[in-house]
Amino acid sequence: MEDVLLVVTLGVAAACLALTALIAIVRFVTARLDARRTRLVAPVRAQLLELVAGDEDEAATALSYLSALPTPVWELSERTVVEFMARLKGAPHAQLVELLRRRGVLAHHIAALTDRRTLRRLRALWVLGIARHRPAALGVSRLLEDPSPEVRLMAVRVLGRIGGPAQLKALLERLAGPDALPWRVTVDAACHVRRGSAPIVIAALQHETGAVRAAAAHLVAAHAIAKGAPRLAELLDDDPDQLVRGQAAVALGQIGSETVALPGLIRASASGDLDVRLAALSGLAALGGARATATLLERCADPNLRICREAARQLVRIGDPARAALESARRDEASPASVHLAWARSELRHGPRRPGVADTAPLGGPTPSAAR
Amino acid sequence: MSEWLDRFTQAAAWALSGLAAPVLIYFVAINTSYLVLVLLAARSFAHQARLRPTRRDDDTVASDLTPSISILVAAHNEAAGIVSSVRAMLALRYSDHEVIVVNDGSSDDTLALLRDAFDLVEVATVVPTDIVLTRPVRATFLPRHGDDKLTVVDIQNGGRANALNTALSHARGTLIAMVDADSILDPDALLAVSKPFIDNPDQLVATGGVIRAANGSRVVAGRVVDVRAPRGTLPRIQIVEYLRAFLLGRAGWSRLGALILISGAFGLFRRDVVADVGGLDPGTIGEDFELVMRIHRRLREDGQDYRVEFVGEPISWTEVPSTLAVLRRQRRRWHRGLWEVLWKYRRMTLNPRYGRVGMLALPYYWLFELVAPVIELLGVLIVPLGIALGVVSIPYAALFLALSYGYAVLVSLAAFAVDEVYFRRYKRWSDLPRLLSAAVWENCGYRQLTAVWRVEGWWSAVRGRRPEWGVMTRQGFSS
Repeated sequence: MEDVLLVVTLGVAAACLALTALIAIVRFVTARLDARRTRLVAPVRAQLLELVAGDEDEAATALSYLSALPTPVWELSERTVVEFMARLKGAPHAQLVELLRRRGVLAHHIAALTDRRTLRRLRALWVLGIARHRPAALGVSRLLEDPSPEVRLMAVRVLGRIGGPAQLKALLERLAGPDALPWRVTVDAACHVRRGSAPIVIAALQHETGAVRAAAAHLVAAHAIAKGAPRLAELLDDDPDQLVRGQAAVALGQIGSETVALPGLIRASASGDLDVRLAALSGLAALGGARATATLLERCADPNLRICREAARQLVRIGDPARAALESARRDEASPASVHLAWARSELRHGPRRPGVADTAPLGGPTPSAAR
Repeated sequence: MSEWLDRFTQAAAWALSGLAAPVLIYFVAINTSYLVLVLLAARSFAHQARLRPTRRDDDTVASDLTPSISILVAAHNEAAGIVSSVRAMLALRYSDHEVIVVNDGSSDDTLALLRDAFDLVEVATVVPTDIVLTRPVRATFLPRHGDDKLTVVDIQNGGRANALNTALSHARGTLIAMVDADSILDPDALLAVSKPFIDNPDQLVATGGVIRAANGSRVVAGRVVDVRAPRGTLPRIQIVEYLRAFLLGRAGWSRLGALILISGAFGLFRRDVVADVGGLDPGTIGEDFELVMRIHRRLREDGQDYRVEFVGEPISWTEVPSTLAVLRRQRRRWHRGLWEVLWKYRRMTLNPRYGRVGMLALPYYWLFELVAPVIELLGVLIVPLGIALGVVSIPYAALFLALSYGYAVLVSLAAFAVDEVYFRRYKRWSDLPRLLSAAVWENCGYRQLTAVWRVEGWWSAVRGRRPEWGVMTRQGFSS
């Protein structure tokens, strides 16, 4: 028994020593590799600055230099170039895209979109997204069906940068079905696809899936599609999906006229689902005007404390135009309404914090009470 | 008399020979389980490391649709660092976050310092009643010029859970982050810890972030700017311990889909889920653990598809105890909390209805977390007793101890190696021998002492003594 113990103990001791040595070796090798990379990339950085900030001649020289970099140096530098490009817009960004084109990086990454290795596909998406390379849009939209959730998410984000009407439609469609894309990320991306979006968004307001209608409602406001307002008013009144009604309320406040938006928002803020009521308060604040302010003042006396508090916050959001109404509101009673109004008054007096739009977008997923 | 002594010696020898092997097996099993968790964590970190270059948070920072976060801070006598902590929290990189500080009846200048630093004015407000509070709100304060998204609430002292429930009642965020008042968050901590909620909104209900020890590191304006190993042996050992248990251990459990403990020092939860289960339980001392267990129980019973995840990247820095007295109070409290929660949720243990939480995580916590200090002390007693009674030979005893503690050192080194490959926070060469040696020193008195304290904490809970948080004296960070 002692012999067995001795052997095992010696084995453990040897493993400890090996691990200690490994840690030291890893640290040493990593430090050396980092130093080598820094040394090789340093001149590339200087040329990159010339390329994006120099005059025409300097830029041309830098472009030639960078285009002719030996492959091993370029491989070490490519990530630096792409990360640098991510912080740029306009002409400097275009210069770097041209550099990538000359080096064949863009064509290489378009081909890599169909690579069987997940990491390759991800990296390709990353580069093409930062380069805002529109010709890749079709290939990228195919990756919305990728088996890897990471690739699908990255494809959504990239389509937000490079997509057109067809990709917007694809994004909205992928909000439906059993393997739907995450709502926030997808809508966030869709917000950036403005080119030719109006007919697609208007059509999506009629979609059979609530998540798609809700996304479309959000996009109506984000893309300022005024002709979508009447349909938003219908959705706010009649849609069976609470998420759609909430999004419609917020959007209606942002783009609707008083005639189209106000009656529905007042009704929605008075009763019904809490989230829709909160969204309607946000819509009223965005709409502004005397009647919206008066309604918010009224809601400060709502029996539901969350409604009272949100109404007060939205009054603060309206800012100066609500100040007079707030000051003239009754303040002699110790009711929740007067407490909230006092809070709103003091907020406005001390400079509003701009509480912002109510967070009505869904996280989705499990809520304990939902199943009860 | 001598006959009686002989009989006693024989019985003791029989008992010792029977116990020695199981204790050794237990030591091997517990360290093997740690090693498995370390390897699982390493796989998880390897995956994240491969994806890291393609991850950018700019979209999250710029988006209107990023879920809002309320950072909840319970502050009780935190005058030493509360202002810099709150400033750092307000300056975190995130598109929509607010900070709610609850002054839990501090007897020092916590509230006065906050009022001065942020130019707070008292405002009238009504607290929603969806969470039951055990202490009334005395006053609510907001910054006079409204530049900061800060709310300070003053309440009578009612404990950390009640203070966090008060903050939860004031929270407007879709997500809530529970953070210790003395914690220092990395600038991108919120971005990283909220990312799983954005990427997988249908399943995520909670995420936990890494807690690391900041002792010895340089802190400027509430930020850790230079990570160093501390000079004292006690904090250094805890650094290794935190690496093994808080970073690698929890990442391993997360990989297994059975994470049941998110540290109260830095955790992010869906507000609606926390509110639906009733907030934190003021009646337990391990309220963070208890909350996660309650969420697991409720969602499992509802048949929901959900996930609780650990995120290796975001960092919350904390000051670990640097004196034995403070460490003792902490460990007693932790073990008491562990016992209370495990006992409260005992019906979930080995119950297939609760999936991996019931069948894997809870039995593990009973066997390898709760009982571990008792077995460890038993092992420490067996060896000298065995030698004294002549049942165990000195070479055997030496091998027994060398194998038990050598394996523990191996696990710590493995954890350190994983950290070195994927994170390498301690960049100085001089820190390397200090921390590596701490993995050895941990087994020379520290483990045994903490085992005693943990048993004390358990014993006081079993005897029904009132839980005490105790004073956590801190040295403060070097700036």
